[in-house]
Amino acid sequence: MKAHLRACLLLLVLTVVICCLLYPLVLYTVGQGLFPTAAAGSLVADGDQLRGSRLIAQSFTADEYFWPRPSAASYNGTASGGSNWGANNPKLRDRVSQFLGANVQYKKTSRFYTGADPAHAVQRDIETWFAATPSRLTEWAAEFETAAANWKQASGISADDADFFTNFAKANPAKWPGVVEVEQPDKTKIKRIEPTSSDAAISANLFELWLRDPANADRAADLEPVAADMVTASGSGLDPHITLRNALSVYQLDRVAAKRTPTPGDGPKVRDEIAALVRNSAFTPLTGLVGEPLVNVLELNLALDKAFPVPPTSGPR
Amino acid sequence: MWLLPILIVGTTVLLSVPIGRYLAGIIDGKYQAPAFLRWFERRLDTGPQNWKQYAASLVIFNTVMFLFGYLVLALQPSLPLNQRDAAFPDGKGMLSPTTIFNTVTSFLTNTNLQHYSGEQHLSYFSQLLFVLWNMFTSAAVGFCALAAVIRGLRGDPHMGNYYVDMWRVVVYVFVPFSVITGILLIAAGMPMTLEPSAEVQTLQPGTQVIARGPVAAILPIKHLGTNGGGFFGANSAHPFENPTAWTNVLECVSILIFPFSLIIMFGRMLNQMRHAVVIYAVMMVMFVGMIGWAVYHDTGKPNPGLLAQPERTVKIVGAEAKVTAPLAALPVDQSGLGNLEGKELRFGPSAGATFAAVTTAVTCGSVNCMHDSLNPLAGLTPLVGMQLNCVFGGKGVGLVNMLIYLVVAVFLAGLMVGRTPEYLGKKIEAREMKLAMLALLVHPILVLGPVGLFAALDWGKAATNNPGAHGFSEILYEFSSASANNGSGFEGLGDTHGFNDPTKNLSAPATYAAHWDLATGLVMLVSRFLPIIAPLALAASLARKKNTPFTTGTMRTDTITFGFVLLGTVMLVGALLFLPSLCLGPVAEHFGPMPFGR
Repeated sequence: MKAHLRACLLLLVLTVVICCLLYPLVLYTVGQGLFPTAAAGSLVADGDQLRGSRLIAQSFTADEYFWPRPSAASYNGTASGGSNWGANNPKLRDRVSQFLGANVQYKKTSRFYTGADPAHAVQRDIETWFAATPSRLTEWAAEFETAAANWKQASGISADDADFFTNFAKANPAKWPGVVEVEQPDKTKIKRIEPTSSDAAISANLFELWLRDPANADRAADLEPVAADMVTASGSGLDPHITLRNALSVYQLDRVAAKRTPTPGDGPKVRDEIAALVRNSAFTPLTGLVGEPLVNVLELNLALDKAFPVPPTSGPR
Repeated sequence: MWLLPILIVGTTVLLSVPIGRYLAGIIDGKYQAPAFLRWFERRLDTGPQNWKQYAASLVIFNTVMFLFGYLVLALQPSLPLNQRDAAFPDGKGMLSPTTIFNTVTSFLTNTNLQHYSGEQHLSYFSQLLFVLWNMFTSAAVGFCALAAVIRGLRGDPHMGNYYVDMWRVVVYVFVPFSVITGILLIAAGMPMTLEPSAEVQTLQPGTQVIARGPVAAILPIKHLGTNGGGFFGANSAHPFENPTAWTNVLECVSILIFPFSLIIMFGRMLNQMRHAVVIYAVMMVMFVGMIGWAVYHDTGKPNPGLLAQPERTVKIVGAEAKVTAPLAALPVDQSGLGNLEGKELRFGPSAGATFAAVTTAVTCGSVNCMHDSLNPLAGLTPLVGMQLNCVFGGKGVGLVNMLIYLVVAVFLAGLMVGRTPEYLGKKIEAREMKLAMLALLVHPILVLGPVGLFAALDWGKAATNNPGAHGFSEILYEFSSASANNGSGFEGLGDTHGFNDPTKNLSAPATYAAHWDLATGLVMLVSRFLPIIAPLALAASLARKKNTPFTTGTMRTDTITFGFVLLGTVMLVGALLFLPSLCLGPVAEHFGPMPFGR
């Protein structure tokens, strides 16, 4: 028994020294000596200021930037993870359809791609369709329970208020409960519900019902599909890439180019130049052996800020 | 779509032949290490051991591992290298005691089930002294068990010496392979630093804190030792744990390389190469089936949740029929990409499904996509891999499991042709069959029993992250993973408590975290040691028997016919044990309403 214990402890000490001290030390020395950038986390600096890591996605929500994939980890570099939602989870479909409702466009060749702001024709159409029938709100709240419960939570409505939507619809037919933040005399803000007929939440939440209504079949057939990576969350929540087809789609390139065009006449030219920049930065995994071309969102946006600065006059849309 | 898996499997098969021969040389002591290393080896040698002494040494050393591991984790707040950063200004605190128990058992048993999140809950000291050390040693334990079993089957007078075997495997095998792999990984972009998290100014006004650390030290042995415990919560899906498509291929190959090579080693040590090739082929058939199934259903098919859904009437006996409304297809272009939810783009489209098959076949448990979000039928692949637990299987223990199936196959074949079953010239009798059945039945009992218990109680129901059949799959997956010593998860399951002081946690502790910690911890322990010790006894019992002479009447175990018998035995026993539970999980989800509960 004594011999066993001695051997055990000797093995413990020896393996700790070799595996936890010497071995990491070798890798540490090689890393710091030969690959210092990679060893430090592939950080990207702009002058003295660290701006991110080229391997880690960061949040971009402004129109002048290319957007990364959605992140179940809110782009938190210290809390990686995916949504872990299976295909049968209503939350997955809700998340995708809400993004689509707020952003989807008609094909440019479509007869519905009209109006002063054709890129938002779908959202206008959904609001019109919503206002045409008073029962839409209650229909939605009854079928899309999860989405409705999330909306209530975000809007400061108690979950116990089961009849909120029914009562609201009775008092304000064909209106949406818009949320307005009001400042109190003591400077704190509270949320107040005000009936509205134009709200981003209408197109986001009602998109599924609008899409399903046979009356909208023509319009639904004319929607420009969104690349899958634009609506699916990655496993780490930090995927730094998007596909080239996503970057070049009307949902990314057109939006970015519009914001970075100094004079209105230059539109097509700037768009083409940015498209060339995007294509140049694309690569295909395994030196082109698998998958399709990808672009690194952070690197692309850094290059954009250098080559196509946002013109100072461009106000809100 | 198919190129990536072919590249990975092809490379590994080619490498497995020379490496298998090298391993046989190491284990038999034919390889001459430098003199100073042999000096240490002699200090460790306590002399030849019979199976009981060998098993006792194994258990004693694992007890030391448990104590050491518990100590390191429990003392985390006061130990050095506890980096302070913007997210954790006071450094990392102590984990809850049940989580420490679970984590220590999990790493000790080579499972690496993680009820914590690496970048949030562990200091660099814990990563290096606890995680890294356990990854080297626990992987070697399985390896040694196999070596001893082979010596028994060979009829050696003794089983070798446990401490010498450990030393040889860790120092002559794992360390050199890890150094090479580690350097390649750093060159491809993996961090290797002791600096705390980086704080950066994002392009849009704001800051981002980026966790990093000595990742490249952990990653090589995480895969070579089929450990699978991630440095970060997202495991090998995290860009720092898997920066490019090349590192992904390298990681897949390093997961598979030893389990493949061990079969060659087995054949060489027994001098029965034809028999080893039959085993290799049987495992390969199942493995290719697993990869093919996963890639076809996950990369070849879009995520069904975003497609059009017909109107359905759901009828349940004793309840009112429910009609679910139809849904239109969402305008999402999934062509060529398959199901992207939970996947990374940089590895290529089929990489997630391939990795899922690889990691569960050999009980690694590392993941490069979220298995919870795999398409319903694709989710069968990881479950089946863990439930069979012998498709190459973990380091050493996988082949030991296969040997158990072999004994059962020989027994069945013997019954069919009416002969006394023999394996490698030794008669299989009542004692051997009892030991084989003990080793074989531990796994299904420890999977299905707790699954039933947790699924019936709130412990399971309140922890699931997905509705309906998929929620059941999450519970089934967790216990399959624990019992197979795999360690991956349908990670949506709420099983994390985090720091003992709940106010220090970024997210609230799961209600039944302690239940999950204790239940899976116990399952891991029993499922690790019974299937190691019973085969040791079985091998020793065979070693004591007289060799029966080889005649024309001997049932041969190195023919294609026997390959089919073995394949049939594994599939049949596996299906009888686990098919009903799989039908309640992934199969029901596939045929059920989607989305569920609308």
